[in-house]
This record gives sequence, C-alpha cells and structure tokens, in this order.
Amino acid sequence: MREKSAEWLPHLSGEIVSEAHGNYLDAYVVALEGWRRGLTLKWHVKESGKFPEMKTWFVDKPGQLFSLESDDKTHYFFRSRGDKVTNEAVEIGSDKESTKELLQHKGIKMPEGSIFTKETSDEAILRHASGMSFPIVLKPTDGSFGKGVITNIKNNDELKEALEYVRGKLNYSNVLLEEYIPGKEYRIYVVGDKVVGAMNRIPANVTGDGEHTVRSLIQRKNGDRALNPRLRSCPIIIDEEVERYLSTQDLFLDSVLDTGEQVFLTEKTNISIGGDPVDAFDDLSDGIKDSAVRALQAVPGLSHGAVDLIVHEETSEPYIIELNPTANLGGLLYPIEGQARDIPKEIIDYYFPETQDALRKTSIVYFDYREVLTPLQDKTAYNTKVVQFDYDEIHTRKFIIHGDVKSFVFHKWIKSKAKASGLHGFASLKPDESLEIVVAGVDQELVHQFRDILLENDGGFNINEVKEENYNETIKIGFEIEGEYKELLNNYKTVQRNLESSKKELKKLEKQYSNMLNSRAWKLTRPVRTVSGTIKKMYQRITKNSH
Amino acid sequence: MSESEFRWMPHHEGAVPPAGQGKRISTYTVALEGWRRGLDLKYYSYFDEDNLLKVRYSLSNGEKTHYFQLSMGDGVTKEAFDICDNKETTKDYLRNAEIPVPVPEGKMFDEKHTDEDILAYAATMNFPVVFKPTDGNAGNGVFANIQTVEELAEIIPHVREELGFDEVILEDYVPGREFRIVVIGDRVLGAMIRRPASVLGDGRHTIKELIQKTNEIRMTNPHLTSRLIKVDREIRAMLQRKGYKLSTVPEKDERVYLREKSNLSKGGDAIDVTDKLTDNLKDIAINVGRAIPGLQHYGVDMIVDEENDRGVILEVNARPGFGGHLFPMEGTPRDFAKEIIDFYFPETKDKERSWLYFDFDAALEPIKNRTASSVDITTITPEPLYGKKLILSGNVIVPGFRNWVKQQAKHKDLHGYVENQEDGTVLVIVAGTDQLAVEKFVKKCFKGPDYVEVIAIDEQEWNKPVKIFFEIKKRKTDLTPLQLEKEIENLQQVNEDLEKRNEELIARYRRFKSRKAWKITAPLRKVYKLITGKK
Repeated sequence: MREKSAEWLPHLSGEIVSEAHGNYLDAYVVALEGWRRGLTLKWHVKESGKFPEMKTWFVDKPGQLFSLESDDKTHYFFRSRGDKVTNEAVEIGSDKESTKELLQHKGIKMPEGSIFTKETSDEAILRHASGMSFPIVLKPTDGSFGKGVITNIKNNDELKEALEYVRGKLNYSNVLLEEYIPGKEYRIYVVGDKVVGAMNRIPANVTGDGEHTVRSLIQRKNGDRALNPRLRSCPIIIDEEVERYLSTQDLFLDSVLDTGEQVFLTEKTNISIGGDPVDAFDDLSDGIKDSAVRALQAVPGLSHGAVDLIVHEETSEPYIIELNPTANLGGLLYPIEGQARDIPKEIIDYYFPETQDALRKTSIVYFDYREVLTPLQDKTAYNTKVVQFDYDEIHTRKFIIHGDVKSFVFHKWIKSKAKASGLHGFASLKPDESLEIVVAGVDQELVHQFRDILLENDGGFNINEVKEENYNETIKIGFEIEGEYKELLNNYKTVQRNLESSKKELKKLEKQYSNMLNSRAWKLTRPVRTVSGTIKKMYQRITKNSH
Repeated sequence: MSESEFRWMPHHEGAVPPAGQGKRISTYTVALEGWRRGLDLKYYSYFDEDNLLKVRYSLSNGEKTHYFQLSMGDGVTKEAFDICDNKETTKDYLRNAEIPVPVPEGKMFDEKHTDEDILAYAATMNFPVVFKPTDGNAGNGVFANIQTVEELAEIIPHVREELGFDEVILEDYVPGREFRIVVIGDRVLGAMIRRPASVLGDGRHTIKELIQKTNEIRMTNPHLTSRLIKVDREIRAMLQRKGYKLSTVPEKDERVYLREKSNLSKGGDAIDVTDKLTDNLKDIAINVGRAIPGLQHYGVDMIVDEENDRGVILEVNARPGFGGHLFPMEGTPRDFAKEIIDFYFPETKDKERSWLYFDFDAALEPIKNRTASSVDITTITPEPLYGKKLILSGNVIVPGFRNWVKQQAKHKDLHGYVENQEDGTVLVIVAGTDQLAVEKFVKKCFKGPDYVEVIAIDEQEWNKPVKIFFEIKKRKTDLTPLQLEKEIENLQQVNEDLEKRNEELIARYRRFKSRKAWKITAPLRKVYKLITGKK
C-alpha cells in the first residue's frame, strides 16, 4: 500500500540524501543539483559571503547556507530559497495582512478574516464572530506545525470552546479568525511563471487489511514513513486527540479495519504530525495553476516559492492561504503517492539557465554532506568548497575479491591505490567474507585497469580471486572503507585494553619480584625448616609422574 | 642538561592539534602565525602528478595574497625550486657563482654511464667518498663515508638498479657535523643539527627504561609525536657492538647512542646550534641565496668543520622543514614561522598576535578525504587574550551542565572548553579579549543553573593558548579516523614496550626462581635418594 504508486527520483534516492534531515534536506538537494552540473559549491556560516544581509533563521548549525558559482556569477541560497527572492518578499510572505493587501490588489482571493492580539478578550472575539458567517477557522498567528489550528467551527459555542483551548490551554494569545473554505488544499510550487509541482496533504490515515488493529496499522505505517526522507522524522503519534477523533467514527485503537478501509486519524493535514504528501500536479486545472503563479507574482521580488491554496469545493475558486518563500521541498520529492517532481532542477534552471543542458549522466554521484560541513561546526571555518565535479560522464565497476580480505592493512592499501588512480568509490566487507570494491572515475580506462592493480597485488596480499561486475548504483565521491571507523574504534579499544592489562601485569610482576627479593634470605633457610613437610609432597609428585 | 621535559615557546604550548603534528608542522605553524595576526587563511588541496594530495594554503590581508606550500612561500620562484630539486644543478650554480660557494668535489653520472665509468672516476678520487642520487628525498639512497672501492662497487648497482635512480653523484666525503641552516634574504635565522637516537644515563635506569622515558617526552613534542624510538635489530646490534644490553644501566650523564643515522623519524633529536654559527659560516649560507636566482628564503645542509671554521654546502632546500627549529629537544626554539610572516607581510610585524589557535583537524578532514577542495578559516581580530582556569566543585557532574556552560561562553564570545574530571569536578578553561566578559562568565558559573550546585570555584590565571570557540571537550571516541589511527599506533608502541618489559621481568623471575628451586631441592634430592634407594 505504501508504494502503491509512488515514484521517486532515482538521482535523489534515499541513500543519497541519508545525511540530510529536515530543513537540511532542502538545502542539500538544491546544492547537489547545482554541484552535479559543474557549478562551484560552497557551504557557509552566517558570517560568510552575502549571508549577513540575507534573511535567514535557525542557522547556528551549518548545512543550510550555500552558494553556487559559475564563471560569471554567484548565487546564495538559504535552504530552498535563493537570492533572487528579496528580503522584502520574505517579510511580506511571513505577514498575512500585507500578503492579503497585495493579493486583493490583483483580484486574488484569500479567506476573509481578522487578527486579534492578546488585548482583545474572548468575549470581544465572539462578538466580532457573530458578524461572520459560520463555519470558521481559528488559528494562532505565530503557531507552527498546525498546532492550535481548529477548522470547521460551526457555531458560537464551538468557537467559545476553541478559544478557551487555543488561547487558554495552549497559550497562543494572538489568533486569526478566518472564514472556512470547504475544499481540497494544495501546496503548489512556482518558479518564475511556471508551476513545477503540486501536492495535497492528506491527514494522517491508515488503510485496513482485515487483520490488523488501528494501532498496529499505525505502527506499520510509521515503519514505512521512517524509510521516506521527508517523513522519517514525522511519525504518526498516538495520543488522546487521535483516540478522540477515532471515537467520533465509533472506532478504537484496537479496532480491526476491513481490507481497503481508509480511516483518518485527525483533520489536520500537516505532514509533520503524520499527514501524507500526495502528488497532485495533474489534478490542477490551468486556471488554478495560473492563480498560483499570479499570487506569487503579486509579491514583488518573490520569484519562486510555495503557494498554499484551497480550491472551493462548490465554486472551484482558489483561495490563497499562505505564500511560503522558504518552502520544504520534501513532500514534492518524496510523495507517498504519485510522481516526484524535480523542484531542485527547476530552481537551478532558473538561476543558471545556461547549465540546463548539462548532461545528467553523473546524477548517481553525490558528496558526503556531513563530512564537508566538519570545518563549519563550531565555526572553525567560514566556508568550505566541495571538490568540483565538472564531468559529463562517470564510469563504474565492481570487483569482488576472495581471500584474506579482512585486514585493515589490506583495506588501506586498496584505498591508497584508488586514490592514486584518482578513483572514487568504496570497499565493503560482505557476510560471505568476500570484499566488494566499487570504483568510479571519469577515465574509463583507469576504472578497468583497477582490476590489474588488484591482480598485480604489489602489497603481497593473499588474494584468491577477483571477479568483475557492472555497477549502476550511487557513488559518493572520495573513497570509503565501509565499517572502517568502527573497526578502528574496536582496534583502539583492544589496544587500550591490552595496555591496561599490560600495566596491571607489570605492577603485579614488579611487586612479586620485589617481594621475592626481600624475602630471599628467609626463603633460603626455608627448605631446612620445612624439609619434613615437603618430602611427602615431593614424593607424591614424583611417584605420580613415574606412573 | 635535563631531559625530563620538552620546552615550548609559550605561544605554541598545546596549540598544535594532531593534524598539525609531524609532517604538517610547517603547514600549520606558518599559517597559524599569519592567522593570529588577523590575516585571511585558506587551506586548499593540490594534486601532484601521482595524484597524491598536498595541502597548501594562502594568506591574505585583503589587498595582497601569498601562496604557500610547507614552509615555502611564493617569493621562491619555480625556477629556483627546480634548481634546488636537483643536487647537481644546485652545485653548478654554487660553484659558478660570482662569489663561489664551497661544495664537495665530484661528478654526476646518468643512465648513459656504466658502473665501470663511475668506478674509473672513483679511482682518481681520495677515499672516503659519498654516492647519492641527484633527486633523492630525505636521505633516500644516500651513502656517505664509503671507505673503499670494493664497498663502492657494491653500492653503485644497489642505488642505480635496485633503487632505480638514473642520475647519481660521486663526490668527496667531507667530515664534520651537518648543520641545517635557514636563511631569509640576507639574514641567517638559525641552525640545528640532528643527533642520532640516544638516551642519557642517570645511573639508575636501564637503557630500556630510558628509551621508554625518552619516548614519553617525544610524545609531548608536536614534531615527534609519531617518531618514537623503536627498539629493532639495528639498535640491538649497535648496543651489542658497544658491549651493552637493553638492561644495562648507563652511568649518570653518559649518552648512549642507539643508531648511526640521525633521521628524526628513527628517533633522532633536533638540537639548536644557532649560537655556533660564525660570521664566515653565515656568509657561506647567505651566498647560496645570491648564487641561485629567485631563491628568497631557503634552508641549506652544510657540513661544518668547526675547528677550522670551514663549511661546505651539500644541499639546498627551497622548503625546509621548520619542525626541528621550532620544537628542538635541546637548545633554544627559533620562531621561523614568525620570520616567514614578517617577510611576506611586513606591515603586520608589530601587530598584536592573538594566542588563539584553530581546530586544524576539523578544517582538514574534508580536504584529506577529498570531499572539499578548499576551506576558509574564520578570520580573527588580533587582540590579547584574558584567560582563566576554573575548577568547579560541588554537585556539578550533571547532564546538561557542560552544555549550559558552553552556551554562557558562546553568548559572551568566549573561547575555551569544559570537561568533566574523574574526581567529580568540572574543569573550565575560558578566555576572551574582554576581561569583563570573562569575569562575568566566572560569576555566572558560580551561580550555575538551578539544577546544579556549585560549592566552590578554584580560579587561576590561564596564560596559555586557547582553541577558538568554546567546546565540550571530546572523548577519544570522537576522534577522526586519522587521529584514531595515530593514537592506536602510539598506544601499540607503548604497549609493546610494556609487554617486553613484562616478559623480561617474567624471565628474570623464572631465572631467579629456578636458581632458588635448585637450592631448595638440593637437600631434598639427597633425602629422595635415601627414600627410594636409587642412585
């Protein structure tokens, strides 16, 4: 059910982005796209380059600020947002009132609503609401992850309850009261004048199989989510709210669902609390697409970003909910259903149109995200430049070696040989005690010659057999020995243990020795004193031996 | 003369991270000096023709940028470098200079010459002679003090065929001590000699124990951390020739040499001999620079006959290693890193120098692993540091506390680290350019967060270098693979020494025991004979 129709991009496989979580994912995928086209990629800290002037947030940890550089220009990026989006546009995007003003000006609708600060009492809000037509939506103005958003409030009593909950219990005093637009909500990504991706967010849900309970279906689904780069840190959480929501459908956590029966666990569509991203690009009418583009263009300097809108279920008219200049791309790249949309490609095309035709044959290549950021941790460095990868093609080969392949020295030898040939790849020990070596390089001949280097074996290792195979999977630049660090750590611990025991042994021996020296005189006279006692023992030992 | 410890220049003490130790010591210390004066520092990778990675760096003051490899800056031209790279060309330039520089007499041979040609020439020379390749590195293939034609006849094919050197030199052997002298422009900066691996007797410890002690000292010297004395066949043989054993206890102040060759990597020591340079020797060294165009700073290997105040140049090095001069085991350390930066950035000469240093390991990791091609180190403002060492006691080893300390320091732009101690206290090293901020930090630590009870703070001045930014001191398991490898090697070495000592002790113990057993059983044997009636 998970992948019933999900289609991800092979050049952004889960393995490639495995080091880039959450907001880091957006930065990494856009940076990677530019780097693969031969652009110069640098990672920065906030104090470096143009970043001090750029509007960014939560960038204490490196990995979200980068620049891409061609011969004649440099562009700076924060997550998925580049410097073609102005600071003013970012500010407007985060302010509902000014967004609304600009949109209305262009004849684009947003739900009607009003904002209330903490000075306004609940009673005053209720009085105001009596002038609105229900149903309505209540949301905190500064909330995130859909927390405290109450939709489809049908009457005054429900609103009163909602206000008490959001302003009282959750302590969000600043709230927005908005008309409720019934219909499907879309997140649409626009670059320039083009819609390049769209998705629905579907509230957390499970589908039955006639066998499992809701609880175990949730657990299973969370297992699936853990494999999705966008969703791995967004499991469905079983809490009171879920139980309450189930109970409105006469269901419990222990209920068993029929095969194919889909049950929603909440009304909220947020991915971060268990919602599903579903590709919806082909659902959109040209009119909706056009509205999304016009909405984005209504804000000066907002050249790319996400548009959240609801298509009214009766009038089919779009209502803009929000504009997001620094949008997450994960849902569009890793949908639970439908086709992934290559937003990073569109963004780089937009910034560096001259690289559009760069061959995609190197799209299996990526770089070690964590490692390249090491100098930026603790700000030892301002920026690091990723090794340039300006090649049209890359050749790969896999070798499988049998023999004495487990030694650390052997692994180091392989690594040095690969490096000397300028090859990338890895070596990995297989459970059948063979060693798998993958090498990749621009020069096909060098890649194939690696077999000769292995056979030549100038390190004099005990290798029995070298098999050769094709390899079409991903290549991380550099050369890595899988498990090398673990092995080193083990080695280290063993050496340390040996050292400790040697030290103890030494202490013991020294003590023993000095004891002996001290008691020597006494011991020399001992035989005389103990002769009778010893004779029996000696006799027994001797006769035993003679048997 | 004491060998109980290794002495730092104060601004280098503890400021050489593992990645800057050993072979990258010039690459780190010269760059550090520039960085400490507020220059922009960039490290970048360079791949040579064998695809080997070389770490290079540049320093910039915003207006001009200079590029460096090891101790050599861009003030040395490619032409000059190439001349120095070939010993024969070097000699030609020195011999034929306006003011000729003394070099050993001899002749170069290439693949066109037969071994017999070389031997024929040798017949015209006075022995002893030296036979060496023109472009060998680190003494590779060099045979000095060859006494006879027969000896030479064996060495020639070894160097030419087995080691594969095409161009070789046969020259006079000049007796004397080999000085390594460093020159910038028309100024001699200093000199050192290398002493073969040795130990100094104290009348109490065995040679074996002295080696161990010497190694412990070597491990504290950033230039020698992984260049320990390893007891091998060569050392055993050398001792045997002298009638010594590893268990011999040398007399007080007796220096026992363990090897012939003085390579630092084999356990040799660098000793500063700057004060031994006479004006004449200095002139010879300076004339080398005048003889080779484009060579603004360099090192020379000079054989010095101290008695007659004579010097002969064996080799010129465009990028001499500074490690032995900066971190000698004996004599005064010489700060050539400072000299190089003074030379390239004279305007920064009198600038205040910060005592901060940076995490070279973190900076190099992606470069070494070929993921990154350059790293721009964070630039600093060169100001003096005000530092404190704090020991917090009370109920202080509490999860989250170290992180809290780090946040306080970060908030005030302070540098240093926090570390839990085995005795239940917490150690904090803190430093910053703003004295008030440091004092406020100390007060804040004393107050602590709610969940920690600081009872007392032992506060001392801290006048040593501090790593930039504030960190929670790492445990060994956080080391990078390269650091780990080095650490493993060192531990293995120490362990081997210990194991050998143990074995020896056991052997001694056994010997003793058996001797005793024999004595003990002596009377018993008689009794036994009596009982069994056997003869």
